[in-house]
Amino acid sequence: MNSKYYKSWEEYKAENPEITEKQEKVMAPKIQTYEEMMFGFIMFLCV
Amino acid sequence: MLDLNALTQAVGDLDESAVVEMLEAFVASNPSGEEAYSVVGACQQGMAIVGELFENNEYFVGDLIFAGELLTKSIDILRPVISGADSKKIGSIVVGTVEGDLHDIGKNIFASMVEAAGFEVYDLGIDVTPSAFVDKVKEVKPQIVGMSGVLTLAIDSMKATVDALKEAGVRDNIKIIIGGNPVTEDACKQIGADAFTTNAAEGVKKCQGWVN
Amino acid sequence: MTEMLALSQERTQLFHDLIDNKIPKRVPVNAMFAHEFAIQYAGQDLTEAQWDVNGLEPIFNKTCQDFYSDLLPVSAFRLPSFYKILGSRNFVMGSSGFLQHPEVEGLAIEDYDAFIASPFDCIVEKVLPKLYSKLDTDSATKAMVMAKAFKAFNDDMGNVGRIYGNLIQNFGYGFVNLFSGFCEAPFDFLSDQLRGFKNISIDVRRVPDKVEAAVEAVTPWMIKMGTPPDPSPYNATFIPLHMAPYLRGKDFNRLYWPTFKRTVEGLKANGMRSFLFVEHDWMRYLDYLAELPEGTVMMFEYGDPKLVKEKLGKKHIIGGFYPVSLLKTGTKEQCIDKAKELIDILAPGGRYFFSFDKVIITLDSANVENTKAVLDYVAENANY
Repeated sequence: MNSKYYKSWEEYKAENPEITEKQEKVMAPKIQTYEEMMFGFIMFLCV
Repeated sequence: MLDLNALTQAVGDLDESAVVEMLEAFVASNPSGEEAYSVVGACQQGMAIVGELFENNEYFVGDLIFAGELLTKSIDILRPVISGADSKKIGSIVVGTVEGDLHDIGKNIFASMVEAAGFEVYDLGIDVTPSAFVDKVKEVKPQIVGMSGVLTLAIDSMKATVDALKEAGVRDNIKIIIGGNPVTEDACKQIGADAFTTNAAEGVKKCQGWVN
Repeated sequence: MTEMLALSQERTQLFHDLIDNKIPKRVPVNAMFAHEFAIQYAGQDLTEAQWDVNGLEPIFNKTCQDFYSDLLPVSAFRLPSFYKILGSRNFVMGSSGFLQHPEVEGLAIEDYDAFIASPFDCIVEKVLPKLYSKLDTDSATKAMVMAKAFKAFNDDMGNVGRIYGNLIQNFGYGFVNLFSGFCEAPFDFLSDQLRGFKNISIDVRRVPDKVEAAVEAVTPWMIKMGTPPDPSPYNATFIPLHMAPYLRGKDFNRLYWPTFKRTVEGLKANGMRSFLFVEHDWMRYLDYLAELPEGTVMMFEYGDPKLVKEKLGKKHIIGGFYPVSLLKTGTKEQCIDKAKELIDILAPGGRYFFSFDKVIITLDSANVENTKAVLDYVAENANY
């Protein structure tokens, strides 16, 4: 998905290389959930 | 002088580039007011073809919208050579979407088609109060009033508008046509309108019949 | 509680049978009422009640108590809080309390190329500020507005979701959610809020190449939008279909159909069937609908139920056709006769659920007694 305003977890991780494997386990679900929620909200505003 | 039949056909075909080319060449040829008037007539006949193709299910609502746009563009090109006195109107009509309702696509299609058919159109826009309708009718004394609405509450607003026109003593001098999703024969009777339609082309024919 | 759970399971089975292409015990009933109807039915004020989401629970209770349905019959799709915060130009509350959708242009014609290059970037940067006046401002203010609007959206929609859960439990509705996901056909997405009805009709004639490129570009975003976090073969993604009936066949064939079909197939690949609200008249497009993945749910507004059953009734799951307008103008007997007529045509062989031709939005759209009578009749008499 090509956009400045939406990142997959892989893209986020690439931009934040300091995240360890241990941290990823607890961070990823939370951070990615908020990314998806924001995406959903913005698309909802367009329908 | 351009080929009027070819112009009519091009309008009917919704062939924008052909229409624009013909009209721009025509305007550049410095035509007389009389010639310009017959070109406008040819465009209007093209719009009648559009209406027929719509009734025959070859054109659809999207095409009617484009036709309205094409006609507006055509009149804009011709404007420098059309003098006001030559544009004979067959009648005038006040249209609007009734109070409480903000929808206007159908109304706009109808307004552009009825204008193309030769009516002077006074479009009051959306969410129009009964008193705004009354004031305009008193001001311009039209033959016809057209009310549009999509929501079921529009039926009540239409009735209120007809009642207001009666109270102002102007109801008997006009014909009233209603349009939109919720309008039916029953609604028409209840509201006190003279005709109803959910088809713009049919509505235009009705209006033409009233002024002939 | 156990009684309600048993009822839920029984009703769930009815819909699972439709989905698994088995004949259910009886024709399932899917009544649908908008929250505006529910508020009016409860005698509350539309201009006030939409702001107090907790208050929607007793309001919905009343509709659920009085109108039969096998699935949750109420929904609140749009609420005013976040639209107000955003200064919405596209969803405006009229004096009657109804949120209406005036014609808007979220995507200017000169922005087609930006949209084609990156639809989501263009939406965030150019479209949202045009649709929402409070986002058409400096970045600091914009950030604050977005934060508040998102909080309001999340709170209200979360609260509504919680209420749905309570209603399903208390009234024993089936555990099938036909609104588990939501998205649009790419052409409809481009038309509804972005270009607007008038502009898209002109674009189709003037810049069809741009329209084609735009719907292609946005298709993966529609598939993503329509895929919920928890896909299930027994739920569905709701897709209301808008523009097709207003297009010529050749424009539909080039600009509407290919990306719509790809969207439905993409959702299927992600584990979701689609629930199409086939609005207006799709009779000339039935052969296209037959191409969609097996088991697509389709609720028809207008059309010939016999023809639809013949062409689509084996492959797909059909509902609709029952005119809400008849509930308003007909006698109770006429209303029940119409239900019988449709059931006779559509029920044989299964793959059919009873629903009206559209969601009932206002109290004055239908006579309440007729509505109750029809739903009760179908629930009690449409046994296989």
